[in-house]
Amino acid sequence: MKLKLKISRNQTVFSCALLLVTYLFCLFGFALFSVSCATFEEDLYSRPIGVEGATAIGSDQCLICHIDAMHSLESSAHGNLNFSHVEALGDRRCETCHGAGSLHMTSGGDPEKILNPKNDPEACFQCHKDKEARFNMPGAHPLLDGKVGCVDCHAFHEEKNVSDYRMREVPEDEACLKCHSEHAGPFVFEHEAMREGCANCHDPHGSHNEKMLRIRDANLCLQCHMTEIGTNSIAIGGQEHASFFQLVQGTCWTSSCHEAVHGSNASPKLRY
Amino acid sequence: MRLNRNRDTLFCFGALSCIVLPVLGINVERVEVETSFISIDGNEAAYYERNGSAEEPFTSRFGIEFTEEFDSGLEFKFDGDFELGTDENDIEIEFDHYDWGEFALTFRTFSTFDYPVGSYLSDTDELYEWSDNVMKMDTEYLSVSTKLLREGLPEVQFRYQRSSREGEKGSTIWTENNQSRPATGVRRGIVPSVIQVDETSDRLELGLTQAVGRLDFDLAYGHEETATNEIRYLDRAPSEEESNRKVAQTEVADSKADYARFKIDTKSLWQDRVRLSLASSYYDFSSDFSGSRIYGDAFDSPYSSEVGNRLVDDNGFVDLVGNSDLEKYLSNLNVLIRLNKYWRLLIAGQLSKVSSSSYSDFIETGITRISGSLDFEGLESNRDGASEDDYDELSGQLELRYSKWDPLKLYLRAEVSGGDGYIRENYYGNEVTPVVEDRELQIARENDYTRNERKVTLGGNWMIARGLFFSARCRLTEKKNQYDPILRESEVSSRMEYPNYLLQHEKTEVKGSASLNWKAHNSLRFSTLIGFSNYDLDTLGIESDFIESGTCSERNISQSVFWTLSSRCQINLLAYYSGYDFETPANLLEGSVESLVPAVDNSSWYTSISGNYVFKNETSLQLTLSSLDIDSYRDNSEVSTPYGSLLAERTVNIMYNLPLGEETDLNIGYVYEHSRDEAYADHLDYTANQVYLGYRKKF
Repeated sequence: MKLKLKISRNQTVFSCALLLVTYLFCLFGFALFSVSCATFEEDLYSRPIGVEGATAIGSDQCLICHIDAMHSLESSAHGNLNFSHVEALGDRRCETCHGAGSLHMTSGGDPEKILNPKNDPEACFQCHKDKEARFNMPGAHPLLDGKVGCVDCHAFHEEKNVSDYRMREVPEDEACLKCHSEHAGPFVFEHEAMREGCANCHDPHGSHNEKMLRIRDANLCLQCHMTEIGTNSIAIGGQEHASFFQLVQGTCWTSSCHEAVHGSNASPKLRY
Repeated sequence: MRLNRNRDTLFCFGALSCIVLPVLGINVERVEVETSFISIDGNEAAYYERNGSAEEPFTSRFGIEFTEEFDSGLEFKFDGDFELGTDENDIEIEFDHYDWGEFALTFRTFSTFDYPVGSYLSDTDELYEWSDNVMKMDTEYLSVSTKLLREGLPEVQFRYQRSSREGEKGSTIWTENNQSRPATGVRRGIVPSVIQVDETSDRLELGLTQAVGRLDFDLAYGHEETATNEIRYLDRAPSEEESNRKVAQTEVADSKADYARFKIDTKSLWQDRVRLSLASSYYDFSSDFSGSRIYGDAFDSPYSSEVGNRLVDDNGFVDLVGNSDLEKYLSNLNVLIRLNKYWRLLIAGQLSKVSSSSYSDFIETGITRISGSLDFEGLESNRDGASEDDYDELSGQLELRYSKWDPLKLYLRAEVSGGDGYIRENYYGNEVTPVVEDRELQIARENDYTRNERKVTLGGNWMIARGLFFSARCRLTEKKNQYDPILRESEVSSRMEYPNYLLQHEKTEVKGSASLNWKAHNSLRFSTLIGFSNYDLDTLGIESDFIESGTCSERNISQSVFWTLSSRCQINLLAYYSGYDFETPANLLEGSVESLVPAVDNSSWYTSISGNYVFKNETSLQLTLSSLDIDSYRDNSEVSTPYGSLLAERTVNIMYNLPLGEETDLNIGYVYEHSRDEAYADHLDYTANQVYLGYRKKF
């Protein structure tokens, strides 16, 4: 493994931001400690997340109806979390994400009385704050518009298992191919990069770039396809690509070059 | 406003329901009505794309929910939201009987919007856009599901799903604006292309679930049929009449798939120490496809062998027909072992086998120079392609969790996967005019490959003190893909050997994150999240040495603060920074192609602050301010095409909530949005002002 230490402009900004956050952190804490103001635990008119007027009941109560979800949670990726940071009183694993459940329970399971990440990403954004910001980027799935939800791609309670019928090459891609089946293939001439997964080229949580591309230009392709370089030449597949007709045109997938980035039925070079 | 559309009929139905149902005495639980008006100054299409809304200044929304319980024990529920102007509708109908089971129907429509633009060239102040209108893609989803419950019998589930997409969207497959070469000797100017989509998918599934003791058995069989019809439009050199040619590439496919799966799940075994699940599935997919790629004066031109404005590299194809088949077998095992009070062991394994084959037959079209002349003539050749692919993979995962030092919880996860397979690709044809049936082998490729990956993840969650929680995770990934090109034959030229020239890829990635959640006080909470990812990618090609073909460094930090200033006032703050650096050796090019593919250096900031204040008369005011800044621009116009953006967005959202009674609210709101992208010299800028009025009553 090779690790390099390079300080770029962005890294400098990043470090400054980190220091600023730390500073703000301490400042707020100190100010709060000094003022020692009264608590406002009682009867808040609204809460950051949760159902208005509801109180926590503990996961044991949830088990009565949702035993399957509870059983598989321990085997899931969320199973290694320590949920006790939310309230250090009893086991409130479920209510960490779903909000206080007393009204949901007393109403006989009214779905309006509990938070459901299926309908509202706020439950997920409690911890995944970075994702909340990324979904505000210009290239992002319309999650904030309510047109898709976190659960359309993620299974919160389940272990790795056969949960869907779409058995594609890369399990993570099952979520993408549910809607983007036109890219699934198989094609007569495939692009082997498809085996690496959609997220190799796209950031499904949001990107600066069109179509959620991680990189906006030919660098995206060159990272895998570049094998030789001279002072003013780039050889790809034994062919010079730095000249007039190739990289100068824009991206590798510019028209008539390699348009069929997901695979082609007509061109061994993935031209179209 | 398009009143003849089915979706508008739905809206009228919803609006009527809101009025009629309460009058009829139906047990209505929720009624919502909302209307809004927007005024946009600047590029309207850019606004509509960014906000995911249709080109309608007025939009209205109705929502209604009602339930009815019958003496027989049957419960009926209707929940619907209908929007006019945005074409969004959401209907859920449920029948639930405690003894027999349930029936549910869901119908949902929504649209997504796209405003495809090409690059902006500062020296000529030109922006290449496909249209000044926003493009629309309509999505519809229908689901009907039933669950039959009878004591002593397995639970039976039946599900039918139909989903469709129809409309247009932009593509990143851009095309050149002109053929002529400016002084730099570069043909440049990028014009967006458009994809017209019409696809429908129908899926039927029948499932049985039965619990036997501590075991749950789950068996399912399904059938799916998908029809897609896509046309990609490229307008090449649109600004030059003598070079302009319009390209339409059509891809039509009818696919069928059958699948079956079987799963055994144990709730607990051996005194609740073990939880185990086993699953297997089979998937059989076949597709018949057809297509063409035609150059002409118009997008709907039939194919002509006339040269027209076509250039030497303007190849296309007609009369393409073909089929593809895929089979996949998959089995996996998951075991959770509670070793003792503090140790948990998770074991997972998966075995998969995928094989596929595809075939296509078509006439390739192009132009070629007439021997002994400077003129060109059309060229057609019969071609066909065939491929076979087979891949087996075995993967395993071991995770150990330790919680003795409560409230510190640690975990270590190791994942290994390895697989091997082969690809065979043949390409036949000849280059003679007129077309003859005889075809000769043009390309033969056979490639054995192996893929190996190792991941190690170490993480922990620590509640340092009550209200102070720390979490961290670090993952090291090593991936090696090896290709053995055992057959490389080409009768055309070495160019056509592409891409069978790679021997090995090696990727090493270190990725980590840390978060701190601090409930500093009952009224103040902080949440900090830091993440980073670095990777190196090394590539080995035939007859060349390893080169470091890509290095990436990504980092982000987010900070949120939730502050309850009083029982009536709350403030929520979120700040997020993201940085992304990426470099390939192309950044080192010198001479005439210096800066041809510069390194990527992106950064973005997102901040939002929102406050909520409840007045003594129970009315409340919410204020949200947000800003987004992106710097991903690289003006590469000297040698190629400029990319990226210098975007600044500012948003203000004010909402006043007026309770009219218990469970009855009136919302009055105002939204201001301003967007500016310097990289496009303000061509995409807009300022929007929106007001809205909403009424909501819960019964």
